[in-house]
Amino acid sequence: MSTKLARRKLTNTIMMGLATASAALGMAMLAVILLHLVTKGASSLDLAVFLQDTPGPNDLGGLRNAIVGSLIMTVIAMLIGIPIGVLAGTYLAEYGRFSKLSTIIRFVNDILLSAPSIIVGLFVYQLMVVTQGHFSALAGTVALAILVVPIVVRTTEDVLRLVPDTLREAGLAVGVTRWMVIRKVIYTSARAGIITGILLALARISGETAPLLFTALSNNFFSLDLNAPMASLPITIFQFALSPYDNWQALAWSGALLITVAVLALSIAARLLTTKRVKS
Amino acid sequence: MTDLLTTDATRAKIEALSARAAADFADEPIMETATPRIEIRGLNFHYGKHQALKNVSLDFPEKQVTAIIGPSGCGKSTLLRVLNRIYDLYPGHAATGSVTIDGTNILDPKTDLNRLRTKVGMVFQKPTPFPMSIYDNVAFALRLNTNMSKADIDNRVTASLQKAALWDEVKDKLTASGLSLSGGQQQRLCIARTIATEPDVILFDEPASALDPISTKRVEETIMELRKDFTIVIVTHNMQQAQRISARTAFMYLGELVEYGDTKQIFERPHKERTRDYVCGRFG
Repeated sequence: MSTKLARRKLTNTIMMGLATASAALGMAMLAVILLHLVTKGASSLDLAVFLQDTPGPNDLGGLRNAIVGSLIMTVIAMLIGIPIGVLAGTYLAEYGRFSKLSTIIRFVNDILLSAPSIIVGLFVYQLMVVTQGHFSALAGTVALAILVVPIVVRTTEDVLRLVPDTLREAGLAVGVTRWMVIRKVIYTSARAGIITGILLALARISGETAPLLFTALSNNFFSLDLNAPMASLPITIFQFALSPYDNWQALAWSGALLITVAVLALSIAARLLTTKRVKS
Repeated sequence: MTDLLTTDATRAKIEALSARAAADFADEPIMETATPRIEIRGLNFHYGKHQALKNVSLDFPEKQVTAIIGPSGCGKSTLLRVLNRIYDLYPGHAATGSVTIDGTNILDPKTDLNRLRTKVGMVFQKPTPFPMSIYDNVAFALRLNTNMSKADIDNRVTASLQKAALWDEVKDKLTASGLSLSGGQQQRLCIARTIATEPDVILFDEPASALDPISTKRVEETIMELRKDFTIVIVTHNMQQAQRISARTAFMYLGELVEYGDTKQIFERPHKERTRDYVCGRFG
């Protein structure tokens, strides 16, 4: 009896130790990456990074065109992807919860969710770049939007399903329409989760390189034209990091740090916003 | 002795007593004159292949409290959920027969469900406040379904909260979240929200089973107050509760209506053996 108990206690200690060690290892890797990124990126991060465009080899310059390009394409991609994703997730969790079509959509969406982003890039290349005859920021935006949709669909459906049916029934029981119940009651209950899904999608596309390679391409000059190639941070990092030039490599580090900090800041801000709203 | 009777205090006491006796008398159900508000005929209900209601026929009289009792799974909640067609939310749930409310068969597929549910309100087992302020909870349906002015909505919200006996507790924090209230308060908020749309009928699905005894008492008092203005149907597991608040009681078992009559008769002189066994607590 007592040896059995002793063995169980030992197993318990070992498992707890393994779990703690794994958690520590994961955190440590993240810490090393961040530390490396900050030390390498911060040294060359100055005002010129934001004010000047990408330079030639061994020349002075910054990342202005890439930063602005990334901002434009990410924002538009989110604006396209969020409504489609949230509404499709709403269909799956609410209107079409029990329909056959939902099962199919869910399956296809899961495939899209795990599809390599380079395939999405190639698809949009065929669809837009080849037919239009030139690369464009718009094509890049569409490629990014296609990546946003499945993530938002999936998270939206999941969090809407967590809202208990009693709340749906209570909403309908006061005699308002289904859509109003969804908009005013269900969305509010699930707000934190929906926003988390949107943030996940944002974090994902802000670092995506492959879908932009064949679509937005890149641009060494400052451009706001959606119909022309546009620079972006991931592609610039990709090009500059692979180059033999010190100034380009330094800028690549700065760009990587910028993306990381931006995503981190957005996550924290959204987290604060949602928790505050829920409490009040 | 005569002196005693003529003192003002004694006279006041006697007057109060006789007034209460008159009130008690008024509470007695008067079945003969009550017009049926809801007429149910040959109602069958299926959850997919499972039949939950079998050929149920009964009337719910106007402006009275009718209790539906019976063991778990007897179909009492199902019967309630037919009356505002809330079951429509789920595929495979189907009712046949007829349920006539004010002359219209609500099982007709052409029934305007939003209008039906405005007229037939429902309070659920668990308190279900919407994730919004106390005021907005009550004003929710008014804003969406009516063209009432802001001042009118204000008045209706106040009146509804008063009728639900919640006003005194929340009048200073109407903008606080409905979720910040206690369980009993939340349930009274749900009652206020339901009466705000001025329904004819209110359905209560075990409204106090998730509440503590004191909250239960307050909810029961609210229901007693409401029966003057509304036709009330309440499903309850609690037989004392049925006796305390209802004028009529229906006993259901395995999807069938076993016995239906005055509450007193059902509990004291049941005609059917199964009813007697149930109200005596021999099974449940």
